[in-house]
Amino acid sequence: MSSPLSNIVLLPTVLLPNSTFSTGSPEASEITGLTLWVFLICTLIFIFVAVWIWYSVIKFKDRGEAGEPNQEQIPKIYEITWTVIPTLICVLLGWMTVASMFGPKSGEPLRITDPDIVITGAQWWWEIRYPKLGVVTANELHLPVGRPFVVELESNDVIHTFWIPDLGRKQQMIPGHHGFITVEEDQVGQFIGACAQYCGNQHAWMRLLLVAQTEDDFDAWVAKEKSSAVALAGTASGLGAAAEVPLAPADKAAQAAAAPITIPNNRPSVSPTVAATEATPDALNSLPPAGNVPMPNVSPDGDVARGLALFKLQTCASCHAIDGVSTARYAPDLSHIADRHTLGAGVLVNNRENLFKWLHDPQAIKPGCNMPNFQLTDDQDNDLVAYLETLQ
Amino acid sequence: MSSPALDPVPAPAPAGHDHSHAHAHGHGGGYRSSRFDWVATVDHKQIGVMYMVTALFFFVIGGLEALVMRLQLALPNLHLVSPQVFNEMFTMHGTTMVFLVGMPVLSGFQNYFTPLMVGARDVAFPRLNALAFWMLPFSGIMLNFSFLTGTAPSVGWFSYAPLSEHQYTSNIGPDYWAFGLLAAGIGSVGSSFNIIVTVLKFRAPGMSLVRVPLFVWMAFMTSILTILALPALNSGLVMMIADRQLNGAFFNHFQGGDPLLWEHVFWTFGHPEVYILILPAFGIVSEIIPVFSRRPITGYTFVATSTVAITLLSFGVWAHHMFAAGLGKYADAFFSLGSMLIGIPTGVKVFNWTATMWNGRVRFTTAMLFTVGFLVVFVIGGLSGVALAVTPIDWAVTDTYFIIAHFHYVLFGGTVFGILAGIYYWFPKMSGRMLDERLGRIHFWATMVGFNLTFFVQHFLGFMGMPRRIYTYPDLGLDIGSHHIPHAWAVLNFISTVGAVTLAFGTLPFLWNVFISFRHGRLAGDNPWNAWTLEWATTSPPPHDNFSLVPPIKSRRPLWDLNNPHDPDWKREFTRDEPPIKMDRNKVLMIFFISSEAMFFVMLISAYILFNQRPPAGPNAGNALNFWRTVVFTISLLSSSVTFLFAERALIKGDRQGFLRWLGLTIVLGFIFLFGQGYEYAELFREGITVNRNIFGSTFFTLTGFHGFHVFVGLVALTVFWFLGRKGELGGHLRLQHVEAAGWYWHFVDVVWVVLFYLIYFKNHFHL
Repeated sequence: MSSPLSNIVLLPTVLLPNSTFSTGSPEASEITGLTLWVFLICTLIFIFVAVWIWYSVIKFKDRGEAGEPNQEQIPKIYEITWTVIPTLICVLLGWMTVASMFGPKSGEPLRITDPDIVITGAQWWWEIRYPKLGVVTANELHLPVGRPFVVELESNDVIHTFWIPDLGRKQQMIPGHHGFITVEEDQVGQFIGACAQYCGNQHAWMRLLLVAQTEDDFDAWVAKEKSSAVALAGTASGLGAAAEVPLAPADKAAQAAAAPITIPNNRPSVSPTVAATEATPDALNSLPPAGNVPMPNVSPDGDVARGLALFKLQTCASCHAIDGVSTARYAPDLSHIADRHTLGAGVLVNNRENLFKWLHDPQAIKPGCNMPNFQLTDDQDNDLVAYLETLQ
Repeated sequence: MSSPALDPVPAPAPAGHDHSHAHAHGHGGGYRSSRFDWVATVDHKQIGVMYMVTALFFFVIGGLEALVMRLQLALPNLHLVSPQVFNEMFTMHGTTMVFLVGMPVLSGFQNYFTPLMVGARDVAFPRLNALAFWMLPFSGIMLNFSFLTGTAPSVGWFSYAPLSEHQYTSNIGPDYWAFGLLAAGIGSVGSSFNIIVTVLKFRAPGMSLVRVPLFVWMAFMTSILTILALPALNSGLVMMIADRQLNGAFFNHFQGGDPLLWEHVFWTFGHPEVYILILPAFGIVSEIIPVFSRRPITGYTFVATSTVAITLLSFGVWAHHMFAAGLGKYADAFFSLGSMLIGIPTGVKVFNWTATMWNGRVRFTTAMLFTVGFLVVFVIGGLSGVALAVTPIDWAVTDTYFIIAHFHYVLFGGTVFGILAGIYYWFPKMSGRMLDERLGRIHFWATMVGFNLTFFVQHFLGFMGMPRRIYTYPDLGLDIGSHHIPHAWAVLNFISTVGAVTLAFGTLPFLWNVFISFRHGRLAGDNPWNAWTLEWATTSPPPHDNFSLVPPIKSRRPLWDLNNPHDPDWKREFTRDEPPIKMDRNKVLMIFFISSEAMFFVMLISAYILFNQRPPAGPNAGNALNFWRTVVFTISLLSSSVTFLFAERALIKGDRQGFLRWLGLTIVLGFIFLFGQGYEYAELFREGITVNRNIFGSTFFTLTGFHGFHVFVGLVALTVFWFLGRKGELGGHLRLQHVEAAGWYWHFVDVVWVVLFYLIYFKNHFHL
């Protein structure tokens, strides 16, 4: 059973607010269609009741007549009518609901298969893994347009809710449970999402970005993600750290907890960053300036090798994974941090200055988040920025 | 405006009414007695007023909490308060408004007016009434004391696990929340027992159930909801406290528990709770509209019957608060259809109320202004609720500002508007003076405008993607087609804040009005509105015993009949004359008390079954328990029910020695059971099987522990009766009723044990 009504109703949506009534995804269109119908019905009912009340209080206003009005009850037929009609309306709504929920665009996978994407909510960031592709990233979900994906929803700590309005339904990530939804996006673009279940102090800034790309762009992105972090993995630093060997692709895929499968349309070369080819959406322009952090002493002279050494020495490596450097998964994977659009799960636009500010004092920007203020000096910050900017 | 009664009937003294409390008062009535009189009072009217005053105090606190939030959210990226403080604000605002304002003020109205409306002198159990009231300030002080410890509860008013577990919230906030709510719940349930027994037993002659005012029907149904819903909350709080304080496993999946259980348990309480909050407001509105339209309510029978339907159905729709939890399409569809079904009796009442005005003479006093305002605003809230019953729509907007808009439309627009209407309607009766109408009109319009400004825009914010419970938000715009509207979120939030400030200022004329009218308002007289229900048939305020004479009651509007002898209601519509039920009031109370406790056990039993169906790893019922020893102690407990029956029979025959012997044996057998339980516990502790060992430990000890506690309390009661019997004070019919009521409790405790014994011991021993 599919919802036949939603197709008719979607015609005027070109006039409707995009972020409220999305049509770029089949599941979201389904919800948009239902919403418009239900709100039409509700508005008509409201107008009916409001007009009835309005008419009553004017027509039957007390004009100071003597005595009392007629006390007879109205005929029972009225009561019966106004019980039966709402019942029929509810039957209609019930049919529409069940048709949609049991239809192909409900977002509930028909069979639970191996998931294409595993999204794990943690306080206060998202880990996004593609087990079949061997890709691990954080806070950014890349999808090629036009295909459905089975997403598994998990939680590392408390209940979070995965929600990208343009993709349709939201669903809770309950620790100990495995939730499954189907998502598909048909429009290229960037769409913002947010955690929708209060999960602690920084629930407000647990946001994520959906980057919907053409098939080619997606393949390019995957290829880049699978490649090891650029350049530095084999360099000895001035601070005495031993040379690291880059992780073999097979190890990286194992990190994504599934046997790697070659993706179709495999492009061996790395293409330019996705961000440069798309206009920055309003969502990113609107992010706050970085808290109370004073004007940063950002300089382009940071030393990349020193930055890598600092990454290990300042215990960043104990929480953050970087290909060929560390395997910790307590905090977002930073292997390709330079390519991401935002920092801190959507609290800052990702640029040099903001990255400096974040490293300088994450607590000033996202107070209560799990990254402590390491009291780094400006030089240390510059070095780290220089290093992280190489991780494309 | 009192008229001489044609057939004066003295106000009924409740059967077996204990007069000692009347003597303890020793004053001539009225509210200007000593202050201490208020502290010690058991008079339902004074208790009602105390509920309302306390609720008003917490309303101001809860309102300030809301104002702090709206100021922080007025513009994007403000830093007026820290995230921690903001989270405390939304938690405390919700908790305060639901438990310290909404339920108490409605309890206050129910306490004050139910006895008056049915023609009784007081509620059935005045001392229980007082105890129930005093739980409220205790609970409110405890909850708000948490601010002074540095951390108020900050995990939301419904405290989802595992965020509320000690691993994720180690500060003491959630503990204050849990204990505060336990105390408040005891008060609510105590008050509800009183209403139920009063309505069933202490109606004046002629006041059959089909003739009681609709407010009384609503109070009655609300009370039944309360005694069944609060135990569900209590069971959840017990589990939460076990997890937080004793390292229990209920909501921790690493120990075998499940966070989803909290959602189910809480919303089993939470959904009936919203009906507890709205039904009395429906009752108030059902009283006001007829009086200010000068016509009887349209469809009394439908309104009353639909309320009973709502009461029954409300326990079957809780998971519409969990559509986003991923329960699966079958469960979601069931709850969706159920929620639509329950919307029908709720919504159709709106038509009944509106039709009451038809062909009437509508007079817009402030009470009527708020009532008509209620109609309009509640319809919006109800319709957004019906939209939310369509599960896919809920998936889009749950946990966003759309939901905040929805529940404020029904709770503020519904409950608060109804309460304000009730205050403007009944203040004259309670104080003897009229409220100023001009100040009332200012209050109404400021509230109407402020309320809609605050919450209407939030529907849009929800659709635009603004989640709830966020302390700030980015400066996002809105795209319509190819047009981009910058700062849309900021504009809508700012409008919402302006509305909130308007609401806050609008409360001031109201507070001033109440304060000034109490002393200087125009004298009201008995019946300033020319209304028709019994509370208007006595002075304003009523004397201590409520009525000197109750008018004859032959219909739903006794005062209409009195003032219109040529056109009485009973000639228009026949209503049956039926006396109150004859059962002793303690026994009636016991039936409802047992139902309430049964609900508590049902929840704990469900948790036990959920987690122990497949035996957990480690100690479980199959390997940790001694079946045959428990059989011995079970026989002891079950035979104590038999010995109790013999004791009862001896009492009936007047055989005091026999009674004491059989009752004594009952008590001994009960203690043998407790001893056996204690022995079992000691053995389990020695083996390291405790509450925190695994999910079996948590569920087993909680379930059998609370049962054991019920046994202990029963034994205390039986022991008291034994000593009374020895003193020779158990003769007479009344005392027999008390003993029989206690017996029912004792049998209930045994029945619960039969169920527990089967589930925990029998099934596992025989591998069923």
